[in-house]
Amino acid sequence: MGLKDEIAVLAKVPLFKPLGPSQLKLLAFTSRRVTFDDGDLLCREGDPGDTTFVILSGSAAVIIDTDYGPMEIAAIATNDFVGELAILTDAPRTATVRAVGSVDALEIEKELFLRLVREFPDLAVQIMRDLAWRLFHTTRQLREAKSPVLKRPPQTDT
Amino acid sequence: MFRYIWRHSWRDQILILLLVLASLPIYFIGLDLPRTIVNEAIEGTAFQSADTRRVLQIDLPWSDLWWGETVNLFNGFDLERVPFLVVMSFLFLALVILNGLFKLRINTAKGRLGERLLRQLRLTLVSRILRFPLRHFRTAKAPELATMVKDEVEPLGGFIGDAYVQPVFLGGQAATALLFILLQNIWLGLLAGGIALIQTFLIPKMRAPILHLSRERQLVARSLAGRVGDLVDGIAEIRSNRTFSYERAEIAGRLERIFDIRFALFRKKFMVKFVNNLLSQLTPFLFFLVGGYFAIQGTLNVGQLLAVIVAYKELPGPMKELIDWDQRRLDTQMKYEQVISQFSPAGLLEEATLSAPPDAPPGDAIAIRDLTILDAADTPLLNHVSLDLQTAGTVVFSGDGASALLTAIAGLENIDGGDIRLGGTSWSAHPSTAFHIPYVGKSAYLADGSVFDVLAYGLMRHSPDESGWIDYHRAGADGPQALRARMLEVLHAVTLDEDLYRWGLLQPIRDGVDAGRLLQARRAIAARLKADNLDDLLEPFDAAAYNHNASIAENLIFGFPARPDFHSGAISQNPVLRRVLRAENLEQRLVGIGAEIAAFMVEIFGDVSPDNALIEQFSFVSGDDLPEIKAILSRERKTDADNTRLLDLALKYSESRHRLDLLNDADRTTLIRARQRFRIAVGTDMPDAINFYTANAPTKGARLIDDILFGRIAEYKAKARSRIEALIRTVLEAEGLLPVVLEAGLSFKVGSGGRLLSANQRQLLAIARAIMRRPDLLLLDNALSGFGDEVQSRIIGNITALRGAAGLYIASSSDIFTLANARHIHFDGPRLAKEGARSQISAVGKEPVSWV
Repeated sequence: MGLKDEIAVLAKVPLFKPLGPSQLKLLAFTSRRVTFDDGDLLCREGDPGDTTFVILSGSAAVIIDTDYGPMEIAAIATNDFVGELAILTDAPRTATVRAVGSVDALEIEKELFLRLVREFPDLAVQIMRDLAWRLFHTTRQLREAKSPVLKRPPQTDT
Repeated sequence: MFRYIWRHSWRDQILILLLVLASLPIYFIGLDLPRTIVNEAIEGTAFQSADTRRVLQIDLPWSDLWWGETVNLFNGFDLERVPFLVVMSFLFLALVILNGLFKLRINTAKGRLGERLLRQLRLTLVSRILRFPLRHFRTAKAPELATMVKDEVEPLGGFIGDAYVQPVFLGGQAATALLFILLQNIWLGLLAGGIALIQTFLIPKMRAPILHLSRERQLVARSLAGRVGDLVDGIAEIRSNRTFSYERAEIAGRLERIFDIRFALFRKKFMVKFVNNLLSQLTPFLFFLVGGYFAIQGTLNVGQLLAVIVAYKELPGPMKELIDWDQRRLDTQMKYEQVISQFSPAGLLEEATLSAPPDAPPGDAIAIRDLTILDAADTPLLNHVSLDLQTAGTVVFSGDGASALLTAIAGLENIDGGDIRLGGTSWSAHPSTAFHIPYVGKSAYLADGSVFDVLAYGLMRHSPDESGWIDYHRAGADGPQALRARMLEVLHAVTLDEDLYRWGLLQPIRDGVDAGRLLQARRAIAARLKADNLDDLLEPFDAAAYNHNASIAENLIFGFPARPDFHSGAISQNPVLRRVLRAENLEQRLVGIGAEIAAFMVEIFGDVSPDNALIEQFSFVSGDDLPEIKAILSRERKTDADNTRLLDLALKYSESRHRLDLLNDADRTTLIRARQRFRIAVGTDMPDAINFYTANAPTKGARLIDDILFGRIAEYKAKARSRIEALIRTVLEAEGLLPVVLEAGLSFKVGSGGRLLSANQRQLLAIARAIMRRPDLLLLDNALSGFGDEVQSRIIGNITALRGAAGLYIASSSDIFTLANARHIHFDGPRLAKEGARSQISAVGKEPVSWV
């Protein structure tokens, strides 16, 4: 699988929608192609993170450490984007990602990614939109999760 | 400006002036000689009474006036008519040559003077930049200052040499010529002088409106250009409003105006020319008329008349140049004043402050009294803050004012009120004390050089002594070896040792490293990789296989190029390689691949601004070369130079890194054949050009990692690099080679501005540079903000462990950043809020939980 196929995959990642074909090529060309064997870690929770991955083929499990041991919270597959929080903030990795079977991915370095953002402001707008959307989503989830608790006292009164 | 020039060059100026004055008599004699030749030799007036003529008889001037009789210095000798003519003509030639030599000497001296003063001026300007108050750099633009130093003062250099000399030289020449005419005939002289005078005053006067007009023409032309730009941008409006005729009329009006100005300009210009020519020609006319009359009357001989006309011919040249000189003087004066005003901002630091030897320690205590610091918009960053600090120990400042306080203590920011007293000395009274407190800001700058150079930068002496610029004593070392050891220690403290090890692996193998141990390490690594089942992480150098993780050039050379004409930058022009490629029918194929790469580069980097580091980091070409590549691609018939350029691109192509799928199996097979042919060709003709890879000897000059792995890391395997680097480390440690690698890491080049390092590496290196000086107090102003709090605490812990009780002030924009065993001070806006960390303050109703 060469650059052409990588570009086709990148084009399907929602975050990269605003990029034109030559910009996608640029992104693919400047990022690093990596393969992981089964069980290899893409990243480990708590480690400093300075890269993000786009899965080209294969799948991986997202795992967090809990008091009761590791817990798988999500699975990611082809065209998914993982680890983007680390390159937008300086926060350490929030979860561990482990390859399930062999995984082919594009690794984008933090500095490179930021340079691209600076060069193509459309990308920055898309990221903002994406983050705002997720925040909206999380807030709604939080509200839904909290609302039964908040409503409970009046309910017990009646 | 004349004062500046005189102050810095009066000695040379006087010397040149003397030369000029010395040349004038010769010039005068040169004017007089033709008269003698014509009158005495050709017309024979001197031979009417005798057959011979005495030449070169020299009498002491005015001697008969003083002693009553002529004192003869040299009696000369008698000559007949023809020899006399010959001697006189040769004398004329000699004078012409002498005059030329004088001119040569004067011009050389002027040129040297100009260049010398230009050098001086540039140095003055650059030292002024170094003396600017930091505040000034917020508005000053680096490229502007740079062009002023480089280009704008350039014409000044040309003028400096002429500033005093030119008017004297030209004026002297004109005056000599005039004097000569006067001596021949007083009336003719007065005539010539009068007309010259009119010219000198009239012509500049007439030129003034021309200058004015040409300036106006420039303005109008510029606004026309802007208007045409508007038309292009607003073409849709013009079409939809149907204002074609209106716009065209508007433009026609502007063109009319330009036409008027230009026409007036022409008229005036040619008028000046006409008047000038008329005046110049008027004099000869009068000479012919008046002089001719005198000659006929017999009061003037023909030789004299001829000499007068020849002398007059010499007059307009210097006059014209004098007028030009005045023009240049005006231009240069304006430029000079402009440059000087740009380089004289308020608050320029004293030179003495900056060049004082760094010896004053800041003292034990820092007392801040009523300190006010304003930002560029006069909003207070700190407002009447008073605070007592110890120099020793760690203090963490948080909040808005923290950064301003640290820059002020470092002496990098002017204070707008109050005082900072360092060990009893007032900041304003003795700011130089402040300069000895090293400060590391949010984005430190590293000059181009190696890691060693960066770390030694803070150790530079005030002036070099016999051991060089580096002050070993300041770093607590007694020589280069101890200094390097100290550097390793400091780099370890700032957690850069892992990076240093990696940099060391990229350095060439140095002389004196045991070859046996290197080979041992090479074998050990191969064995370990096999044992751990990791051999797919490495692609070994195999003479019979194409290496996907190396470039085409590296595959062809298959070794380390020891000679510059085999280096990667020159290899595409190397005749040996070209011959081999042609023999294998590879040349055209590779040029084709180069063209594909070029097209790809132009496509993906075409939109990226040319100075973006992306291009430099990933492209085959630099941003500035992209247009040239574009031009090559568009050329129908490619020149040889074009083909070489494309071949150069192809040779840099690495399959695993660039992934453009440009090579097929047949190509790879041919490349292997070419490699073997190349090896034979180089081996027989010039065996010292390349150190080829061989299994049983280290490759001299090659990067350590290449040689020790004897192959390339398979970059596409996840974590291959880190795994292999860890493996190499254990092997190197076992072989006792690790210190060699770490030391080699000090030679790693950081690139201009440190661009080959990550931002975090740059910061850590800057902190290490500051620690190398062993300062009593170190200021870190958000210097570690790229790291998480935990990592920051760890690094600061290391630094304190290394520096003992020495002072460390940290400004942190993170409100929750706390350190054990440290004093915490929080600024609320521009005011000092409370002692204690922000988190502690807010925990219990704004009262700190604990006073540290």
